[in-house]
Amino acid sequence: MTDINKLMQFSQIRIDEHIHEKLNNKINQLLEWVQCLDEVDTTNVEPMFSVNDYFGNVLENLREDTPNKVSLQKEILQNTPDKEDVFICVPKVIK
Amino acid sequence: MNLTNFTLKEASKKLQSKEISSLELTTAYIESSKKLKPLNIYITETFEQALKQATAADTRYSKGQPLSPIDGIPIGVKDIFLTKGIKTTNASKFLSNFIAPYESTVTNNLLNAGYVCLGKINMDEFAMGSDNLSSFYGAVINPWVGEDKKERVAGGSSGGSAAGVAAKAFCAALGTDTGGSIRQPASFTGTVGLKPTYGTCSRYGIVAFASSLDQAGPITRTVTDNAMLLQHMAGYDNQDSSMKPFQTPNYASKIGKSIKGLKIGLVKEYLDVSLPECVKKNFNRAIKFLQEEGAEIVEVSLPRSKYALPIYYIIAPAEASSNLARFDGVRYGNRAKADNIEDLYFNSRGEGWGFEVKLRVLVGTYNLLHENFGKFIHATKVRRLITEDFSNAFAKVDAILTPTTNSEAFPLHEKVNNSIERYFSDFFTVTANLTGLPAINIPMGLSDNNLPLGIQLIGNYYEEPELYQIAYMLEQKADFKLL
Repeated sequence: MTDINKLMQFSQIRIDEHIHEKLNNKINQLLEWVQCLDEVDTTNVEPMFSVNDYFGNVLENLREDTPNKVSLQKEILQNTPDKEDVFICVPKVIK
Repeated sequence: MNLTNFTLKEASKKLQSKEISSLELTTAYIESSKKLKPLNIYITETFEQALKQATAADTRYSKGQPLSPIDGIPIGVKDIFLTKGIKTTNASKFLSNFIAPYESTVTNNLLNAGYVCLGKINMDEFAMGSDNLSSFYGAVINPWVGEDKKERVAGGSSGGSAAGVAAKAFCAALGTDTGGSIRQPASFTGTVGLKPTYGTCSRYGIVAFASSLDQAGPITRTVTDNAMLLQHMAGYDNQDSSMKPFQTPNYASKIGKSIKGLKIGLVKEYLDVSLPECVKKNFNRAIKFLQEEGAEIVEVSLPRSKYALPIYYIIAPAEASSNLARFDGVRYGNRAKADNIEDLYFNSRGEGWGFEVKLRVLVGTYNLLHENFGKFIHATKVRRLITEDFSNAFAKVDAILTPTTNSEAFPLHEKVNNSIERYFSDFFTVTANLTGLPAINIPMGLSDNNLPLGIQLIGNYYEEPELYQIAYMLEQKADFKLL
């Protein structure tokens, strides 16, 4: 059984109490279903996180870590819910 | 002459010969889209901008300098692609006012090819779903009506894109596919939908769901149209670190060539899957067509493929819970009322997301908990075993044939008691995402209820031209009547 309150805490989502049971049932249904994977023997098998893992080194195609000169400050700030000048405002963090 | 009846290829030819203008074509699609309003295809219409783009395309044609064969073609864009200066909601309340600050690589490629963007298209919220019921903007309705006259879902998550292509709201559309989100709605609406090889289309500027599985692809009315659109979506982009440099082939180069002697695999383990009679009949019809054209049918074995769906529901939510951590209500998107920063995160996410997104983020969080991490790693190992199964199969065959879905489109108002049953509609499609292989849906026939049924061809890595070659032949033989 999952502890839905713990999962909500880790996921940082407020969820109305009236759907807790429904969510919990769905999560448990899903977790029970995926248990069939336990029967697969994966001894000496390497994980595959991405298709590129299957073909070699995932890191080999990374571009150079150089600064990009494009500035999207204005475009990005237009989506900010609360701002002053170029600063994003949030509720007081330091107590 | 109704201009919306032209396929992309036909419209392209008529634009080049100046029989029609892009402005006429675009206007015809806008009028058609307005009539189709009850299907709920659009989230944001960009008709005014589309008319300007069409006029610009016409100027290029008049100078004899079109940018590409898709110059001036009206296309619908799934609302998961960032389109600079245009609202990009991901069908979520969380992003309902979000204006994209930059352009996705795929849509930027299309802009460079001169496409006309008709609008941003409805989908499942954050691409999580198989029926479009999770959209904050309401479900998309399938333009196909069966014998029973019940309203049907268009499939998901690219449901609006598929419905719009089938109903002729636009000439073609962009979708994305994480577990079957292009191919399943294509099957439900009688359209052609391709999920390319992982790394064919850049993921830059596509809102991430599960990064190791997400891939963009075209939804069209014909196989040839599909190849034409993919040609201008695909290409290496160093902004997507999971792409490897590759030379974009001519995707239509093998269309029309004989498939004689090609080997097509039938999966031994899938023959035991319980399927409705009409799905089987449809599948057998495709086998018969392949044999008639001289292809050799070969049995292949994918012994671990039955674990693909359970693996998907471990890996995809885990990646989603990580990707969706960025939606915190601070820099953009929904911000709920809160007195402290922690409540701001909790309330913004709680208020901005629907049930399915919350469910998957919670499941993903569970899968990534320290005590469950072993199970997550185990799933990634089984993923490798499935990929090995496919590699072994492709040593023997050129492509693998399967049904696309295990049913016709579901009724819209059918009560869903068991979400796992609905997840099974991705049974045949999800392996292509886990392995990264390309796969395409081709409309093949109708169910007993007169609703579309598709078949799926899975190809080897980067062999989209071969996939289109076989798909085209099946399309010709099936002679599927579009809406």
